[in-house]
Parts: sequence; C-alpha cells; structure tokens
Amino acid sequence: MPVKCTADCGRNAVLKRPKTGDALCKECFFRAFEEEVHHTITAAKLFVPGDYVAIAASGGKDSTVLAYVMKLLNDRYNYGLKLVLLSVDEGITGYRDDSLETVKRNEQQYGIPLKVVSYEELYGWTMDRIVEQTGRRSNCTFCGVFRRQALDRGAALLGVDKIVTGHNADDIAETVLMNILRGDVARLQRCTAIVTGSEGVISRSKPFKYTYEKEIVMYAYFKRLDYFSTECIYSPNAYRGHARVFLKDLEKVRATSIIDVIHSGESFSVREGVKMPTQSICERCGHVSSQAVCKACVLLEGLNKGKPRLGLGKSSKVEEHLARQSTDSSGTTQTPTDAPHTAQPSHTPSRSTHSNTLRTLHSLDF
Amino acid sequence: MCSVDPDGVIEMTRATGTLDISKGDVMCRKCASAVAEVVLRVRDAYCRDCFLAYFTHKFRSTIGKSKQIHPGDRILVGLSGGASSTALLHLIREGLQESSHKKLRFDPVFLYVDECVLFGSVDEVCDHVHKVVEQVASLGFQCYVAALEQVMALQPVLPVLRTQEWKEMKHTVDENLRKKFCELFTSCKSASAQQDLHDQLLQTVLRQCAHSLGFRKMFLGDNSTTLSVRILSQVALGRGSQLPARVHFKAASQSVEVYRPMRELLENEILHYLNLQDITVLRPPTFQPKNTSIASCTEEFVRSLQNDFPATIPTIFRTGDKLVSTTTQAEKEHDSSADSLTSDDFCALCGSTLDTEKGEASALHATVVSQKYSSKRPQEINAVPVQECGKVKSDGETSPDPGGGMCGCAKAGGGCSKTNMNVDQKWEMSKTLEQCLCYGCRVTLRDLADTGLLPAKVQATVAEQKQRKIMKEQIQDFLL
Repeated sequence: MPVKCTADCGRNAVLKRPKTGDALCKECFFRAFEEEVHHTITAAKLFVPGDYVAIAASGGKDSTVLAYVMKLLNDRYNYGLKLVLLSVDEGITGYRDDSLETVKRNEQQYGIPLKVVSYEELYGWTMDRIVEQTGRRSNCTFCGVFRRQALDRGAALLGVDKIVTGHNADDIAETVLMNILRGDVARLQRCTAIVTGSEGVISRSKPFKYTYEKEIVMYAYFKRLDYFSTECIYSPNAYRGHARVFLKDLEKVRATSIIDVIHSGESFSVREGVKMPTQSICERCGHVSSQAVCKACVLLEGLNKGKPRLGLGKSSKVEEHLARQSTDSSGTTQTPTDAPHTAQPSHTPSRSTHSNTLRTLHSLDF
Repeated sequence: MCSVDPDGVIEMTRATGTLDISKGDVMCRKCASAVAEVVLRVRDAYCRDCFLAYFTHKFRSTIGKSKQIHPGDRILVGLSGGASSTALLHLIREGLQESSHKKLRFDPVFLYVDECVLFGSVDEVCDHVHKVVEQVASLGFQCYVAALEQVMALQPVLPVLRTQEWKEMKHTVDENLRKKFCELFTSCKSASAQQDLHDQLLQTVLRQCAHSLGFRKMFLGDNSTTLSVRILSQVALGRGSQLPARVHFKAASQSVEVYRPMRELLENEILHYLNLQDITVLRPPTFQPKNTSIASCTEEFVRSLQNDFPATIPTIFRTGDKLVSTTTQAEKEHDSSADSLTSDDFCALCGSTLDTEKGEASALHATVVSQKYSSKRPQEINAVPVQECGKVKSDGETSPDPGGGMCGCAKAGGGCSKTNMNVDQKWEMSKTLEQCLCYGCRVTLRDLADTGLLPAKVQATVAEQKQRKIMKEQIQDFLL
C-alpha cells in the first residue's frame, strides 16, 4: 500500500528524508529543501540587495546544487543578487580537469558567468608537481592553503562583495570533531560560524550549513542535476578521514547526530586565558595571516628552495630558514632576494616561466 | 592536516612499537637505579617506586593546585566499584595517613549507588553492593548506599549508612519505584536514549544524595580516558554546553560542587597502580544496552584511534579543558547578581543550564524549521506558515497548522474528534515538557514512547515551571 506524503499534500511519498525520517513526495521534498536554505539565508542575514556574490564552484555535488539553488532562490524571493561562478584549477590531472568541464556546463545550463583561477597562474605550481615533490602525506595541506588564497584572490579580481561555499552540515560536523581531535581550539571556535572573514578579507558564508550531504545528493538526483562525483585522487590518507568515518557511524546510530554535533559546536567557546593566534598581515604578499609570513608564502618558499617540508614541520625551522635568507641576501648575491614587489625569475632551475613568489594582492594583473 | 605548533596543534604521529621491558634489562628513566616495571606513554619506563611517587603526586597536585579543598571539608566520594573508584579509595586513605605536610586534610565519606534494578533481580549482581561496602569499611571509612530507582520518587530518599552488622540483613527494596524505573527504561526506543537517560538519572541521584545528606562537596572518580570519551560523546549527543560541568575539575551545579581529582590519570596508569599495590578490583556490573548507542560508538572510535595515534586521548582531554559554555560566558558578562540564574533556566531532567536560547540562525532553529516543512505534527513557530488553516485545540486556542495533519487517523481518511482530543492533549503536554528541557534531553525525549513515565520529580518541575511562566507573563510589564 503506498505511503502518503507526511506533509499532507495528498500525494504518494517517493522518498524517505535522511534528515528527519519523514516520507515525502518529490515536490514537498524540493519545497522543504529550498525553504530550509532560504530560512538559513534570511535568518542569518547573509546578503543585502545589490550584493555581487561569487559561488565557489568545484563541479562537485555541493557546488552544483548550490549554484542551482542560489539562482532559484534569488529569482523566487528577489534577493537582488548578481551571481558569478568562481572555480579553482589545482592542476590535478584526471580529477580537476574533468570537474572543470562540469562547471563550464553549469555556466551554460544555469546562465551564470564563470571565472577560473589556477594554481599555475597564481603560484607557478600544480598539485601534480607538488605531490611529486612532497609525496602523498601532506598534499592536502598544500592544496587547502593554496585554494583558500586562490579563492580570495579570484574574488578580489572580480570585485565581488561576498563568497558562498558549498560546505554542508556533514562537513561542519566533521570539522568540529576533527578540531577536537587535533586540539585546535582557535579553529574550533570559528568553524561553526556561518559567516567567516574579518577586516580586509571578503567574507564567505555557508548557506548549506544545516543541509545534510545525503539530501543534497537526493535533491540533485531527483532534479537530474549534472555533477562530477569522484574522490580526489590524493585524498585517502588525510587525518580528516577518521573524523569522517566516526561521523558516518554516528549518523547510522541516530540521524539527527549531525545537527547535534553542530549544536554542541555552537554551544561552546574558549576559556579566558587560553593563548590564541592573533591576526595580522603577511610581510610578503599582504594576505591575512596569523604569523609574520603567511602559510602560503612559507609553503611556496619551501617548494621553490627544494625543501618541500618547510611549512609542515616545526615553526622554528621556518624562522631559521627565513632568517638565513635575509642574512644571505645582505651578503653574497648568489641567492636571489625575495623582494615582494618585483617579479624576479629565480636562479634555481625552475620548471615554470612565471615568477615563483607571490605577488601582493595589489600588483596582480591577469 | 598535520600542521605546526603556533596554533598549539598537535602533530598526529602514528604509534611505533611499545617498549618491551619483559626481559628485565631496561632501567627506570627517572632514577636509573632500579629495573623498570611499568611502561607509560609507549616508551617511558619507570621502576615501581618512581611510578608510585609520580602517580600519587599527580593525584595530590590535582587537588592541591586547585586550592578548592580546605582542611576539615566534608566530602562525599561517589564510588562505582570499578578500577578508578577503587584507586581513588586507596589514594585517599594513603593521603590521609601521610604524616608529612603533604597530608590530605578533609573528611571523606563514601557513597555507592546500587544499580541492580538495571539487571533484574540477579543475586550475584546484587551482592556486589556487599563487597563494595566491605571494601570501604575495611579501610576504616563510612559508606552510604543509595538505590538508582529512588530517582523516580517525588521526595528524595535518604541514603542508608551501611555498617558491618548489616551484612546479614537484605536491604529494603521499594518495589513500586523499581517497577516504574523498569517501565521507563523499556519505553526507550533506542539504546542511545537508554544510555543517556541512565547517565542523567545517575547524576541526579548523586546530587540528590549529596544534598539530602548535607554535603556541599563531592568527589567522582572519572579518569582521563573516560573523560576524553565523554567529551566526544557529549558533543555527539548535542550536550556541548554541558561539557564543562561534566569534564572540568570543579563543576558547580545547583547546591553541590562536584570535583574530579582523578582526571589527570590515564586508565592504564590506574591499572598499573592497582596491580603494583596488589589491590583487587571488584568487577561491577556495567550497563550495556545490546544495540549500538552513541556512547558505545564513540568509545570504540576513541580507543581504536588511540591505538594508532597515542596522542589522541591527551589531546582530546586538553581541548576539553579549554572549553566553556557560551551561555555561562554571556551571563558573566551581563550581570553578576546571584538571582540572575533563576530556577526557570535549568533543564528539568538533567539539571544543567538551558542552552536553547539560540536565536533564529542556529542549529536548534534549523531542526524546528525542518520539522515544520516535513513532519505531520503542527509546530508553533513565528515564521510565516505556508498553508494557513486554523485548528481548534482542546482548550479553545487556534494555532496555524502549516500543511500538517494532526491526527494519525487523517491517513485512514476518517475523523474522530475524541482521538483528536487525546492526541492533542498528549502533544500539548510533550510540547510543554520540551520547553523545559535542554537540547540534549529533547533529543532523548524523542526516543521515549511515553513521556508520562518520566520520574515524578521531573514532571513536578515541569508543572512548576509552566506555572511560573504564566505568572511571569502576567507581571511582565512591571519587571525591571
């Protein structure tokens, strides 16, 4: 006997909602999904009319559905937003080039313009070449740090007011758990905020903060949305994998546990007296950083000087290296100076014709 | 990602092999003069004396550095009979006998909560209480016994002081309370709810006993390992705001201050201590529901992760130490008057501060919104309902019914107003109940088949809070 949709519209139910377990028909599910995102956006006051918003698009399910829903809600509720898709090319063959094709298709299908920035242009290195240098253990560190800055730089180029990313409830719950496991209280305090960003940085928000990953897949499936769904070929060894497995087990025991974890994350803050990193600006490229030299510059320095593990080990080694750089430059002229404003090609054998140091945000010209 | 120290983030390195001291050739790393008998932290070897010194020092310094325990304080020590409790018992006795200036100076009295209601009336399980009392008495201390089922009673029951002579008497059992307790437990639809309920009720009993016996301070034997597991399982249960109260050294709750002096000692260190001192550990019957629960899932995860990454438990523990609840932070900033936390702000079931005033942009509100759009039960929300259709409730109020059918028989197509009324009343009751509970207890409540089975005290508290809310509304305009 067919089950009736529990939203009482009279139709037969075709799916069971992962978030609440209710049986719903397709239309009511779409409505529930869209209204919940709309509620998240309005309750948190994410946008004002006239905002120019960049949608971080990777071609994966979260960003495809995000682009679709943002456009739909923008039209339906007259948010008054101007939308653009912003995509980052990390240079991972067999993964990123395929997903970029998806984003290009999305540009056509949803009628939202697209801008692509690549690691090659920005840093002079692709992920494939970075993995060759560092091996497979800490590649996610490089990619994550570089991608965050790449998004910021791309957004700055476009002149957008805000960025939205497709982080869903599962991602945030996973991040809460991972930060507890790693002891990172600074990030723990920030990670449940729906809007992140500070002085001088374009704010990013997460409209899918309370949306389950399974529901996003379900929405895309029933709406027949086109996306690229393979795991990054370099990802299996990340420590985050442990938190993910734990979260999936919790979800199997109790479906609401994902939101419960987020609620817990929202309910605590850091005790007074605990040392927290302060925010300042990177000496070299001007990007926001909690250290004198930002992580991206440190990692890049390591890659260029043939010491790929520079940013991944002890901070004291980083300081030593940087100190040695400045004493060398004042002495002999064998090692090139690391002047932030001029783009000098380095003397060490370089595989790229672009400069390997980061230019300041202001001097970028594409 | 494995990143560097400036954030204080620990690099997660995989475990290498544990140091092997079985051949008796490794010397103690501290005194270098005796053969090592114990390995801690994978590769640190200690001889017997150095280990015992380290262990007792850690215990005493946890108490000493807090400067919260003063000479002459009367302290109720909660025992479960397990390894941690047993170690606590012996450490306290050693500390009191110490003749130097390091002597512990407080008056401990012990309490054991008898949980045999959870296991039916199996005799050997119920004999456990005798063994624990004997153990305490043999060290020269007084021991009270309380029964877990007393939480169902409306008036708190005074725990009984057990003496040696009592061994022959069977302790009195209140059958009525036992029956109510069992009914409550069997009405839980999930193992997680059972385990959470058990945890909250046990804490309530401990507090009630301390209060009725007139103790202001209490010791519990939680060790580092159990606390780390608890940190993660509380987060998973949505009880993040109660983390400080369950994990920090000192937790003040209503009228009792709870302390955890064993908190910096790891489980394996405690086992080594008991082993070296030749202390037998009684095996208390532990409550383990058959199916997987959130708590058991978490414990399994932490223990297996600890095997691969030995820094896991210390890291989780240290993180928990640095966290406080956002509600208490906000209150501290706003006012310091003692009346600011009225009894209306506490959860009726677990007694912790309510964490449900979160505003519209929060996880809590998101769940309310989800229910509104997909569930058949009408919810009272201030958002614009999609379909307006007034529904007359049993007490004459109308409420917007956003597209949801009320009665189960809407499916069958027939209306029956009488059933409507009963379902209405029950729904009204559980709504009122929900308003008086914290987030974590609300989650557990959803898994209870019949909320009427909750302890009488809880229901009385809910009724009282409802009454106070009405009173407050009446005088709202005149409150400053």
